[in-house]
Amino acid sequence: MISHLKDVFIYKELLINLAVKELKVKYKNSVLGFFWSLINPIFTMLIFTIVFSMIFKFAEIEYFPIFLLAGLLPWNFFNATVMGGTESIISNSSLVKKVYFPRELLPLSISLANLVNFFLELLVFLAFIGVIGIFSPQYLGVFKFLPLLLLLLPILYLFSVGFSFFISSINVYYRDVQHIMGIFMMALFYMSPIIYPISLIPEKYSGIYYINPLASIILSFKNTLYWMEAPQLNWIAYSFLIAIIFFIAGYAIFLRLEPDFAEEL
Amino acid sequence: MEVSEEIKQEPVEEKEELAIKAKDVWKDFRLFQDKNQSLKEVFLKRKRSNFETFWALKGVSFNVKKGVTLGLIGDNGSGKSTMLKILANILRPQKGDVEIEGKVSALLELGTGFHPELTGRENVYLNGSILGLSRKEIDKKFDTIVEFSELAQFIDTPVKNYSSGMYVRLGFAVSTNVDPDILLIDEILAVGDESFQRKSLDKLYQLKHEKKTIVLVSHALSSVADICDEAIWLDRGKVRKIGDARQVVDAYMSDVNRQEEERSGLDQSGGADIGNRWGSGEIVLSKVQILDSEGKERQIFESGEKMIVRMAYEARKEIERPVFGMIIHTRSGLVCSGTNSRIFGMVPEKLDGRGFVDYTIDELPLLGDEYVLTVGVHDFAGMHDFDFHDQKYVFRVTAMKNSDIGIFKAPGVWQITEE
Repeated sequence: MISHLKDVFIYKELLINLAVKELKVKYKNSVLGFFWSLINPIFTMLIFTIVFSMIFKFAEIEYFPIFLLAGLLPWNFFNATVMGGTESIISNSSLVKKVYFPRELLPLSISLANLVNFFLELLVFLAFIGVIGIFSPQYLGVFKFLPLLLLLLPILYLFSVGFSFFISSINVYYRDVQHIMGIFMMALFYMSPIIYPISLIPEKYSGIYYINPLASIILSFKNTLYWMEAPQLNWIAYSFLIAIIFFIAGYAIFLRLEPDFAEEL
Repeated sequence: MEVSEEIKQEPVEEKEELAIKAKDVWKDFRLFQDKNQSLKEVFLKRKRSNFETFWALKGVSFNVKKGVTLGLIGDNGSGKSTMLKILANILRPQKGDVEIEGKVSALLELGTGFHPELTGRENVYLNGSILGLSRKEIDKKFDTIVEFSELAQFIDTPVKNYSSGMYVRLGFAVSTNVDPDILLIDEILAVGDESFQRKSLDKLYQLKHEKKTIVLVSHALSSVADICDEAIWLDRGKVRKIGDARQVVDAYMSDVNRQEEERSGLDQSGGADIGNRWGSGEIVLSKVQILDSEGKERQIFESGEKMIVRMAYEARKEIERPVFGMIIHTRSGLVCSGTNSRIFGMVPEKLDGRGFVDYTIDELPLLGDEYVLTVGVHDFAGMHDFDFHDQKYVFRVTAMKNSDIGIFKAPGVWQITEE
């Protein structure tokens, strides 16, 4: 695995070019282009805000949009990386069948492109905080917690990429996977503390709830970006361990299946 | 003729001279009867669908020295492309080892990885990095690439607006400027128009001149014989012959010819089911044969060989001054050459009974292609056909020892006079 990672490093230029291609192609021929990266989360947030703060009321949450975005940011990254990665091998089958390069570059390039999107969305988030800070200056405190992202982001990244490795390689063999993923991701969305506060989960179920490793990762983001409290160290350690396991396992499976991709496609 | 001929390659003294070393390479493909790709079936049947194993390569071994151009030839399905893909690290062999020294660039398809929405320029960079170039290296080569592709004015247009010719040109320009140590090429000499083909051939000669190691799969046998130093003839996944390119190509060609003759050799005699026949029948051409120098009936001739068109006649009554003629057409009907016995000055006053007429071509000037023969017998004035076999007999000419192009060899010599 180490030697494969070295290979990826050798091909870093291609990796970056593929990621750039991903971003370019996504917004080519659209008038607003790159702005869609900003518009999308804003509207998602608007819709959820209307639904959940006006129709279903989680009354005790003030500034619901911030609360929501704090969870939506990591979720969007995870979702786009896994879903994009799932199709990445198949949609580049002409390349895989004709040229050699480390195949893991394909899902990795998707994850990099999404990382760029993550930072764009983060900008939207911070702009929002800035506006809200005019009325409730205590929210400006979030800026102090930003360095914690340097800890949380690698965890989210490793976890998402590991999962994407696993799913993308399985999908080459069984195309059902991409259909299953649609349902799976929807379930995962509601099983993670994105639109509701964790306090709504009854105490007796919380053990089961945290079996979902994404829940603890997203919770850490929320704690940092909304509740402005440093996440507990044991939570971070647990998340990190899970992320590493997912990454190594996902990558190992990917590497095992990879040599026969050209034949299966 | 079914002997497996194998010329042992000379043992190489120094290992670092080798660019490619393939040892006992086996590769199987599973041919699924009904390939299932759904989990449901996997769970229900508890196994993947039935498949047959097809061995594409059965223990292929060979070495390629640095700077050598190697051709892989053989019938479709003989394993050539599979071997190339294994060398390119796209497929992995079931068994056996492949060792490669140096940077490999595989041109299995031109323009692989071009994204239609991106411009020519963007695609050059993307494609270059797929083939292993750094941005700096592409910067350096960018102008050469654009110049070679002749696409300077379209370089900032999305390639989806390119014609297929432009697409291929750009692809070739990028691929051949990658500057690899080892170049793997699959049939790309067969794409593009005539001038592009010539250009790519020139480029290939240039790379060869630069002492690149080249492995090329091609059906264009005369090109293989010309460009390659060595060749490997693969036959159903096994090495049938390995060695000097021309010798291997010759051996392969004669095997193909032999098989072709076996397949279609005898439908010649009675007149095949093609073409038309008409005439009043006072004299008929009862049998038409194409013979070689030894008088053996053949369908395949080498360019420059002796060829005899023999027409056996049967006259039912006395015929005055009959004229025998023959025409050679291309497959598309173009007349390459036509002549008759009157033009030659051989007209018998009377002909009766049976006999045969030969038209002997000492050195067949035709080049490699398939041709169709017309024969006929008519009256002296050419007004009345007794028996006319219009485009009824097919024969093939191979031009292994002749790289001229076209349908016939214009005999001549070259000379340069410096003043």
